[in-house]
Amino acid sequence: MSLNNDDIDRLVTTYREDFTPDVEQGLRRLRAEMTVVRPLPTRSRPTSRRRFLRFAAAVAVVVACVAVFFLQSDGRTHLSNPDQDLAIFTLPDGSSITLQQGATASYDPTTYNVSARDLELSGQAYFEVHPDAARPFLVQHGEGELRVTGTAFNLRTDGELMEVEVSEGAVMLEQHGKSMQVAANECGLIAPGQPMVHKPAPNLNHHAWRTGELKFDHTPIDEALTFLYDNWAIRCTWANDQACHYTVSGNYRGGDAGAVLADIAKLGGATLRALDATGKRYELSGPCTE
Amino acid sequence: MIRPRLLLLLLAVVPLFLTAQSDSERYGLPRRVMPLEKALIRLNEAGANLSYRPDQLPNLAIRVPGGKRTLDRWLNFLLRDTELSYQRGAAGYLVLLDPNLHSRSFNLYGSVTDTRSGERLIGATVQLAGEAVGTHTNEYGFYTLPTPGGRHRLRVTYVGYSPVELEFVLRSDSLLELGLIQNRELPQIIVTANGTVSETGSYLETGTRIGRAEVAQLGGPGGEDDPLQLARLLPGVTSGSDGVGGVFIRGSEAGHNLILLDGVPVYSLSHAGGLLSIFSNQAIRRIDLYKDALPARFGGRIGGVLDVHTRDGNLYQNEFTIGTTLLSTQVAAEGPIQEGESSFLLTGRYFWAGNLLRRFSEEYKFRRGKSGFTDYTVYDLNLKVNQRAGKRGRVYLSVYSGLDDYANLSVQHDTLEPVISGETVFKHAKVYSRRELVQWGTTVAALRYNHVFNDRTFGNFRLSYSNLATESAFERYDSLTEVKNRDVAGSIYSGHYDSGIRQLGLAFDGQHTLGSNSLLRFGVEAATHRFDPQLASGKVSLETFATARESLADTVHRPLQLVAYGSQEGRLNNVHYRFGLRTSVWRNDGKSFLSLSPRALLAGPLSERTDWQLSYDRTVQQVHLLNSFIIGLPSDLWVPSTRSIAPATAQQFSGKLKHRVNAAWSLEGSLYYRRMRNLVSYAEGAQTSMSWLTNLSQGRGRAYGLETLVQRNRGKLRGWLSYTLARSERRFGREINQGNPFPFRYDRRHALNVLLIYQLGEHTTLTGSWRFETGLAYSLSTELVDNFNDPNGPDLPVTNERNGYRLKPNHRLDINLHTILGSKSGRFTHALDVGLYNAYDRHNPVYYDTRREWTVRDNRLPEETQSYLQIYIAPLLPALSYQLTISGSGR
Repeated sequence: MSLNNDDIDRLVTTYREDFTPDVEQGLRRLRAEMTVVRPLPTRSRPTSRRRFLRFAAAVAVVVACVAVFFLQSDGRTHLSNPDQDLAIFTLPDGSSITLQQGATASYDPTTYNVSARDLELSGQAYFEVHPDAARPFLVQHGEGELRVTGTAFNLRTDGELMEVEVSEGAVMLEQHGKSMQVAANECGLIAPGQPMVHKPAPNLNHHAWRTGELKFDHTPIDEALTFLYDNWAIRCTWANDQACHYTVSGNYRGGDAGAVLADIAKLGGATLRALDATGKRYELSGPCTE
Repeated sequence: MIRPRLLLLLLAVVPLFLTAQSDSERYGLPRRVMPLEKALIRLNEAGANLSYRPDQLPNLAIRVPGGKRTLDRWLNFLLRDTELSYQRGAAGYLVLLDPNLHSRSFNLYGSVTDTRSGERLIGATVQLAGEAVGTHTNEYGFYTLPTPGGRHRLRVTYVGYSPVELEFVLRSDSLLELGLIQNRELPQIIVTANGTVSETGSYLETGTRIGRAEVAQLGGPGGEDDPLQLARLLPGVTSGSDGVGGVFIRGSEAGHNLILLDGVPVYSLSHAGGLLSIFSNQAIRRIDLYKDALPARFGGRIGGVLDVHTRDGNLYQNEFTIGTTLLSTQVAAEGPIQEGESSFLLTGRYFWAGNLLRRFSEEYKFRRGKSGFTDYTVYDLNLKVNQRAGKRGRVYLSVYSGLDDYANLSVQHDTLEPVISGETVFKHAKVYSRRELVQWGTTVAALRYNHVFNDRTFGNFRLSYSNLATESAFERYDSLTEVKNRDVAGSIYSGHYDSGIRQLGLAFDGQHTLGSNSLLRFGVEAATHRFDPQLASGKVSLETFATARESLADTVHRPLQLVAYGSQEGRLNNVHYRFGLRTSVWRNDGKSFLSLSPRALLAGPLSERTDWQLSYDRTVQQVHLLNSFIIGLPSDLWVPSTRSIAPATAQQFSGKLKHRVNAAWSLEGSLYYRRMRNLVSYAEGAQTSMSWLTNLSQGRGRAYGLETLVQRNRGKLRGWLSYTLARSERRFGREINQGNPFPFRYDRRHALNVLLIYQLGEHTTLTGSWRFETGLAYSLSTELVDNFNDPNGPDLPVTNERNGYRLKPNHRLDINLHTILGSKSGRFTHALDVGLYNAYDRHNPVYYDTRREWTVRDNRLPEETQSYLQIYIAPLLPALSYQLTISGSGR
């Protein structure tokens, strides 16, 4: 049996609306059979040794962060990842959250998983939400809210901005009473004072901070640079505002953002210069090659 | 969790390990033809980390053999035919353009054609827009343009065609076939000299282009379009009255012109003694006329060059044209044999006016008390077939055949008034007869193969055949018979001239681009000739010579000629140059002549609007045309250089300034000085020999002059005004004019030509041309005396001075209205010409004929007197021509 993304969406929707334990079990069986859109590090076998190394490191981080898990100051449970590449936490309902370095999440342990699963996020994280139609999983941020019953997605918050890229299932984005469904391999964006944006994300490049995989397919250079910023907060600007315009295609694995930047700069014949030692600020300069 | 731990242990050696691993890892591709991008995507899907710029990938389908290979091997294979290279980047493999692309130079090459007909365009400009790099297509429509790699905009222009611009990224030597679409709505531009628009590369295009459209607008006698009519309006180009005698370029003789029909030398270009040329405008694409700065590929003559190119025939569409003028009927058919691959062109002209001439002349002569007739048959045929031969070649077969056959016969019997002397009555019967027969036929054939060897080398192989057979004979018989005593007094004088030339040649002409702005042109030629000139005249009846001919078999010459040439053109700062050398060996009669013909041309801009040009040409001519100078019949004989006649040589120094006043007006001034050596002429009055060799004199000549031209290229009224001040003189041995210099017969001191084309409507033009030339320098004989050396030879004309008498000036006005009417569907096109030739009926003398008459005065015995008769050819003639072209459905 083979399923495409639409089939999965349809099944997931049905499951959410008419919940019975049988359906849930059936769905689990179904999931076990189907090929996931993108192998998640927690589930799939690593395809390269380098990735496996990263995974091993991540597992070590989980152990290191147990203490962080229980730190409480305002009655809420705070999860944070101050210094590791990734930190994976398991929430009381069985959902898991992978925090990027510098990201924090919090929830109220007294209300969490009672009638809903409310969570707040600052920074970027990857969620694998345990299916439970009776208790929706809600992430509030700024003007927007993300509502989900069971799926996997990447969520990035930056200031008031909230951006979700779904790898499995579908999520609902809500802003000012309007809602928008974002399905697998799609990206949704809520920015204050602006209408919600909905666009395809076939390559799941917003997951790259975690998976190490970037895939460009006729991607304009400025969009490629945006992915570097979204994933690793690498800011790359054009010297004297004189940008070159070209598109790139290619696969990158390993998550070395600096190396990717060096390569895509070279494709355009541009010179790359690090502006400081943090590895987060760069400048590109021409001449632009044809 | 054994493996992770193991790997952690191996951490130290990981970098080395990873490199080795990715180098040896093999990736699979399926066996099929796929685009390059698809192949790269497949490799990425198989796990490779490749990145590239999709816009840089050429649109290339690659036949992938399938199987598993390492990434290096795959990339080496896939990028083989592209300008892309690959390198190891920081995060994977990068496929990218050669970083040195912009500093490398490639060749852009191909041909420029008319999109509708497939006709190759000669002299089309191909240039990089906004860059000072450009070139012209050569005589085969081929161009090579050295271009640096990267993105460029190419601009292709040709007169009468909409310009085309296209943008492309050049990554390798590229074949670019360019097509242009004819645009009749464009403002017409007369191109008399290439490069009316200042363009790079045009400085070395020294020929003057005579295009079909302008020729059609000018019209001609009886409505016959004739490219040479237009050529003769150019400064420095002249001819006898109404074209008789041929074309004379810068004071050289008709036989000094190199006339090439599709690259093959032609020995005669006239119909009807020069009134019309053999070039049917239907068959001609264009003619390039060179007065100086001759490319090294031209040689074998010491005068100017007429490089005639015939059309190829429409590659896509059938066309049939039928037309008539007051003199001839023309038929032309052309079309694809295999669409886009091969085509043919067949044109023919038959001068039906000759048939009318016979009937009218019989009547005319009868009314004047004579019997006899004049008969003239003229026709010509052009056939051209071309076929694509592979991707890089094309084969052309072109054949021309034309014939002139003229006969004139007059017999007059007369009885003079009886003379009574004492008791005796003398009754004299006068019999006068004239017989003239002239026949000449030209056959030219060429089999050519064009081949593009590579991006910078182009070659043309040519097998050629040229044949001219002329025969002319005349007999003049004047007698006075005393009826009773049968006393006969009188004279008979006849001549028979016969010339046969056959030339079979094999040639290669190549072109090689050396780099930016530098071009090498080279070639070799080999030709065998057969000359069989016969010349006989005397006080005998014409029949005598017919039998004598057999015994003259030893007069046949079979010279062999070998030629090699090369030239290089280029640019140094603002100076464009071309240096060439032509070497030829002529072997005849056991003697070889080696000759070197260096050529040099320097040209460039003097200021933004002014261009200069300086040139030096040395030319050598191994075949000589002997002109008979008394009678006007075309009794010209071609003779080869032999042991006793060295090849003629000429040197010309020439300079030119051209100033563009604005887009429409331009001024041009040229100065030239030409020295000629080893010219050949008949010795004084000596057309007597059975063998031409013994009575020739060699001499020298010089010609110099100033040519000026004011031209307006655009607007409703276009045309030019030219004035030429020139002198051409000759000096031979004591046997001619006692060794004193004398003017060339066609020494035109002043020549003024005006051409005006007025655009009445989109498809209608009114053209007027007026020409004025100083009269002929003519050897007028005051009397004929007996030849004491050869009592059987003809009487010798006595002239005071060779070419010492000036005939009255030539001038003539021609008017022509040319209009084209097309049906809406474009299937039918009508071309109509109405005009006047010699509008004010000027009788321009061709020569003076000497006639003997017997008259009886005061009852004395008949006296012999001589009279002169001015012979002219064309009075006021109406011109009318109509052509219908039917176009088949094409693409």
